Amino acid sequence: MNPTQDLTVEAVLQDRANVLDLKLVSGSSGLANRINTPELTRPGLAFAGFYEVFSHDRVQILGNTEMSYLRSLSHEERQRRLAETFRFKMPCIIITNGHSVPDEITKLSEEASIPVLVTSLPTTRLVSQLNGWLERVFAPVINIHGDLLDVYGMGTLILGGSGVGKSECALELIERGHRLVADDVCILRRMSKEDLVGRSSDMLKYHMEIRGLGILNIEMLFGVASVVDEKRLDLIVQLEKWDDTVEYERLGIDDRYHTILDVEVPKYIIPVQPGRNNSIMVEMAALSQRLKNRGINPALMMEAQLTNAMNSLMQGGKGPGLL
Amino acid sequence: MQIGMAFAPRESCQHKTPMTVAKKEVTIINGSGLHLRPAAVFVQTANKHKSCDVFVTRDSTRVNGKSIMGLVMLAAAKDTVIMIECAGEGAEEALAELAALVENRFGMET
Repeated sequence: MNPTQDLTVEAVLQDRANVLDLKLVSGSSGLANRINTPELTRPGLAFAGFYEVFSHDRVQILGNTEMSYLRSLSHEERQRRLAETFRFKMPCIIITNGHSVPDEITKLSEEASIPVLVTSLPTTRLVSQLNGWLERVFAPVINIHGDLLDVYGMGTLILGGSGVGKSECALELIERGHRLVADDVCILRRMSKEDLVGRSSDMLKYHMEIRGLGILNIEMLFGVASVVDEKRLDLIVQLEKWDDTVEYERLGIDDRYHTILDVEVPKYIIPVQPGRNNSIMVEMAALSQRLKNRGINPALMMEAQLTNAMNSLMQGGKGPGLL
Repeated sequence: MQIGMAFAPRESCQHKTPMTVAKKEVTIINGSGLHLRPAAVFVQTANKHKSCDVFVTRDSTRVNGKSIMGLVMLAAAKDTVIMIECAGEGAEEALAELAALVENRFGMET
């Protein structure tokens, strides 16, 4: 699914028909209807005549409740209530549990150009799967110039200017047993308030471009264990050309963050110098962050120890031994 | 629906002069489109302009014009319109050179 395209009912059918067992029953003239939100609605209350805050612009789901309610009505009443509801412009209607579609719905859907789809799935399953997929499609997306790897289980994004050695560093990490997600172009999606998930474009998946070597297929070179399709972003390592005038991090007491799509991601800035082993630096950044995520910060622990020692000295204690 | 956008790392260029941005839309006219060889030529030319960022946009996908992988991702076939965007020192010159490259079929076909 291309998230930047408008989502039509037809696109949902094309992509999800197999997975969600969706079949088009009627209203095919409305296949170009747009879906503008990942949310779903069950229009039970609308059928009962309550139209206030009826979210008609969402995909409408008819489950057991709605279908039994409709069945409990007389033909005239059913026709009247449905006609009322079909006056609203709904993108499409999905009937779950393989219920047969009442004739009134078929007729109204053709007139109003609102596609009616049927699935064999129970409502809860359909709702959770369809909503999950829609959330993905509608998630904010950004392309970032960098390399994303799984380093000791941590989604690590290597950033840095052109020619600083991001890809070379990534290659070294793969050689050391870590896994490639994306080289050079990383597509990040915000899946929730604090989760960014990165992947490669389908075109570039498993490939890297290394100056002097050209295009490499990492999956073929290192095997299927060396690649992973998708990874949650846990930290950013920014490689910078060593600059003598810049004061680099010496303690690690204060955390730095880099904000992407409004999500704060812990960031490490690592100066690059010939002879410095950058891949080990990235490994250590990933491991340190893992410890920090568990609430362990060696700099703070050392600070506490130091404070203790100084306090005990001031109170006439022995202080830390020299040996 | 949110639109995808590209992201320029802040350290990518250290601008000493005020930032100039130059943009131009060009159509890919060579028969085989922006495939690997043309992409490599484009990236090499873009990389000559060290103090200038280059971005290429197709529809709503924006990529770094100094990255072969980025250009490959655009899958820009013949007749695709791409937007070249140069930002930084010498943006105008970089843009002129890159646009000419595309318009001259990357110097590859006769």
